[in-house]
Amino acid sequence: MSQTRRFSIKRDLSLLYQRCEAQMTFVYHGGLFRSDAQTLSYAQCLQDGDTVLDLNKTPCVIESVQDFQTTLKQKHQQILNEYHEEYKKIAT
Amino acid sequence: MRSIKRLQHDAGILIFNHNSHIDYSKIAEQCVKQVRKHIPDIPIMSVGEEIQGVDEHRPIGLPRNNKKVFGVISKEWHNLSRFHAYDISPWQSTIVIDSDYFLQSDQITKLLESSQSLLMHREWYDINNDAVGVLNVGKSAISMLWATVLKFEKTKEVKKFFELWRAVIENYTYYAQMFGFTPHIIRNDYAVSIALSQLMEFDSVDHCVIPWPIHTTRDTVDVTAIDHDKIHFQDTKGKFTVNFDCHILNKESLYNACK
Repeated sequence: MSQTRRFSIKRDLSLLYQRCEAQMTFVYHGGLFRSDAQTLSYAQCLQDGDTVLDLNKTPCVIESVQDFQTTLKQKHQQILNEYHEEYKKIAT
Repeated sequence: MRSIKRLQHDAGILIFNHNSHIDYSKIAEQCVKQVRKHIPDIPIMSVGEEIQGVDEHRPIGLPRNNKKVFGVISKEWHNLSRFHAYDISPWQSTIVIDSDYFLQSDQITKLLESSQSLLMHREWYDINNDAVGVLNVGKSAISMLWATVLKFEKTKEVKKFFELWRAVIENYTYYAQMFGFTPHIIRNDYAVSIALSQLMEFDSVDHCVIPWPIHTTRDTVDVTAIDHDKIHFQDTKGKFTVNFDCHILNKESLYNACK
């Protein structure tokens, strides 16, 4: 593989990563959250009515933890699936 | 049609447009097309010179002269009317975008859904160098916020922010001396950063920060073509495309790429 091709792949992967990183942010009841692995894991510890801090350190009450978890998981998986598909296209 | 959109949302996009040595209307027209494609239900208003394809227009005269370095030459640039956005916007929630900020997604609708009354970018992603960073206002410790994408809601505090923004522009030389930057080119980015710091009494402004970086291409990157879903670029290392919202600094090539 030529150096130019290798550089091009690396750049396209970086741009893809940046796009997915930005898409990870979602809004839930007015708060801004990231649908990343850490938030997914944290959401497992919550109970209905708990207060969490969003990305802007603003408190937000999670009335239905199940709804929050479902939204979070859907966003997370949707973005990672897209990342995977695009990654394959670039790398092959 | 226009009023229905407004009733449904009470939110919209504001784009300021003043021609200089470049026909910014051509760039702004393409910017409007991108907004229409990715967030079709949000009304758009142009301010200054009318942009084709907008829902509403507000004519205003040319603002105070300013200069900007394009390539290596300093040229006239009219960017000093954006602090009027609060008074001009007919909506409760507004996003002001620069006409060189091209949407490739509906990402900015998240700003309208957010309950924060004021949001701007602080981190920037330099597409050319694949690096995320934060700039400072001159030699001060104040982090620079980007005025390129500004979401605001009509509240008393936000109104005060716009008044402070105006005051910084009107006393720019004073602030330039205080914070150690050149007074010759007035940057809205510096003005909004100082204004917000003043509003927060120089305390944290974290709650007003958009939690993803503004994706930016430098002057050295040429735009070669624009599609609805991707922008084609070229730099010294080769060609590449971008399919996320992007702030483009090379205005000449952007102008040439706009159909």
